[in-house]
Amino acid sequence: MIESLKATTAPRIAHPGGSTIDRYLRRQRRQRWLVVAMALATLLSLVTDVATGPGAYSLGDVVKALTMPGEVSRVLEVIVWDIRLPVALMAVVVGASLAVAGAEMQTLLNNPLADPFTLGISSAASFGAALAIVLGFGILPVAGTLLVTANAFVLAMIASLAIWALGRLRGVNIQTMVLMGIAIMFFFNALLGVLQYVASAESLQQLVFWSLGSLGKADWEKVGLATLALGVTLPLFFRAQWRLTALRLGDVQAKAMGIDVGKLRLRMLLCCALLAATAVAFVGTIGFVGLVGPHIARLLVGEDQRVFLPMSALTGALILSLTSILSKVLIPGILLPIGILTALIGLPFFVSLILRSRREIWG
Amino acid sequence: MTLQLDGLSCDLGGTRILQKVSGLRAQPGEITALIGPNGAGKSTLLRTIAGIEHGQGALSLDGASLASQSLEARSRALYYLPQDTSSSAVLSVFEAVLLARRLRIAEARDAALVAVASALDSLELTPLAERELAALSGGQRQRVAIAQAIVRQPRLLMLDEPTSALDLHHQLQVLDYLQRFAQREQSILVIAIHDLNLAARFADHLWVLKEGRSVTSGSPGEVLTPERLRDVYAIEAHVEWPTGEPPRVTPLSALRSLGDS
Repeated sequence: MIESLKATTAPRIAHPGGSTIDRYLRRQRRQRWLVVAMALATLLSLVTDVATGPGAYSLGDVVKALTMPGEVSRVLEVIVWDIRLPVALMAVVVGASLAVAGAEMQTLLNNPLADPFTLGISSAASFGAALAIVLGFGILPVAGTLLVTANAFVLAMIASLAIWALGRLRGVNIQTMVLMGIAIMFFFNALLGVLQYVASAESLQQLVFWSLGSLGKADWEKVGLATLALGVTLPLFFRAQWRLTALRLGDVQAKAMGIDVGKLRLRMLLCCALLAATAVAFVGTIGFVGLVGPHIARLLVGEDQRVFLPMSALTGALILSLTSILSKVLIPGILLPIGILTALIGLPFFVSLILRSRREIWG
Repeated sequence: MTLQLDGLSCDLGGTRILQKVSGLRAQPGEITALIGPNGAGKSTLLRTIAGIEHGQGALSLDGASLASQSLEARSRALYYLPQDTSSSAVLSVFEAVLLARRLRIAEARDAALVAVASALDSLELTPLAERELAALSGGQRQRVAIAQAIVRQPRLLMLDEPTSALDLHHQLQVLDYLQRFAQREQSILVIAIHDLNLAARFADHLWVLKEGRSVTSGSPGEVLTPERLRDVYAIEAHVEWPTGEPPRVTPLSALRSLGDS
């Protein structure tokens, strides 16, 4: 009996440090289960989001429409597949994109406040949108609703590239890059103010609506493009996962470990720029997710990028998906702008996590 | 395996920090203590050898020039442990040491885990394995950083004041372990250190730097003389030579301002 008990409690790896290894493996399993749990919660939220809305369809009907579209009424099929699913998926993809961009910006710039919003990328996108809405000016030769999206994307990329280009200059450190981002935010906010001042009442209302963020105009094409941006950048982040984790030990230690810190920082910032610009261009400025999503992920699983990266993506996806549901049910019959709800739903969760963990999340 | 450097210079922010430093001939299994007053260029010298700072001059390990090698290529043979090892990263001690190993050696997962557990055990860090870096004291963090260094099994290990945050027990424990590590792995160790008595006790050679220049090198008995200490540190000191033991330095008084050159 005692022998069999010994056998079950013996370290998995026969080594004097076997129990230390076992404790590490248990911690790793716990982290991975949390990622799986977050993925399931996000999936559940996605389905609930699709099931929420006018029409009083049950969750069962919606699940059936999702899994066996041919066996439900044509009306329900159209509602689920052509109207609600693109919006619900857009919430998930944009939430994940903003949170991943925020997580990596915080890692790369070693700053807990870094995210697409605080670094001016969202402000630049708003100015781009305002150029189209107020002046009808298009930077790219596109027309219709794509005009606003294209302008927002181009300006967001310009802002990101300005920070990126500054980082290439000799002697520029990460604090300077963060300050440059803040300066860009004020600069584009000022330009936006000029356009708001000269805008007509109608275009001003349109601009305010855009800047509050909305998933309402999502369609399969936009979901596809946003997913493509995430699909292109995520593997690059995963490929650099050990090096990105090492950056949090400080530049000198990362360099001592053989990492070309400057090159890694610039390449990964470009990926962040693509993610943030795509997300903001399609749904408008949505703050908070890019800032808080990574912080919640960090509290749950730490900063080993093997789990921190997927957890950040899923946390951002879940926050925006829950916000999407809330935007439909808070005032029945009215779709509230999602940008103003993200803080309302994310903040209490974030504060409760901080109070529960009672640990310093950033030195 | 030898480390050789000849005429090594380095400029930082338009100021010449290292001025044609030569003379180091470090051998495997030996510890060289790099000593000198604040601002002598000790950290800059180690960083230049590691490739973290750009320098000019000849630098070779095992006869192969390091100057033309990338940071990544250099990091496969050598490792530099900085003086400031503070970090707010939300990583456990085990994760942080595993990270250092995985960035250096591609191997099966279990082999990496065993190497990490052994390194933690060697430095009495096993009880802290699950603790997060931000929750460690300065001394504990410094020992974790040393574990990150040794788990990479570098042929040349350069440590920048690795005992500055440690209590007396851990100063002796860490230096004793590093001495055994150098002999077992036949690695070259270069340690920048301020405590001359620890340097004399654990190092095979002392190498003195002042104002970015190499002043002298030799065994502790050859280097630690009252005259040399007066010249380099501007202090009056009493030096004892107990039979069969390394010299012991007792500082008596500071003579004049050294400045922060």
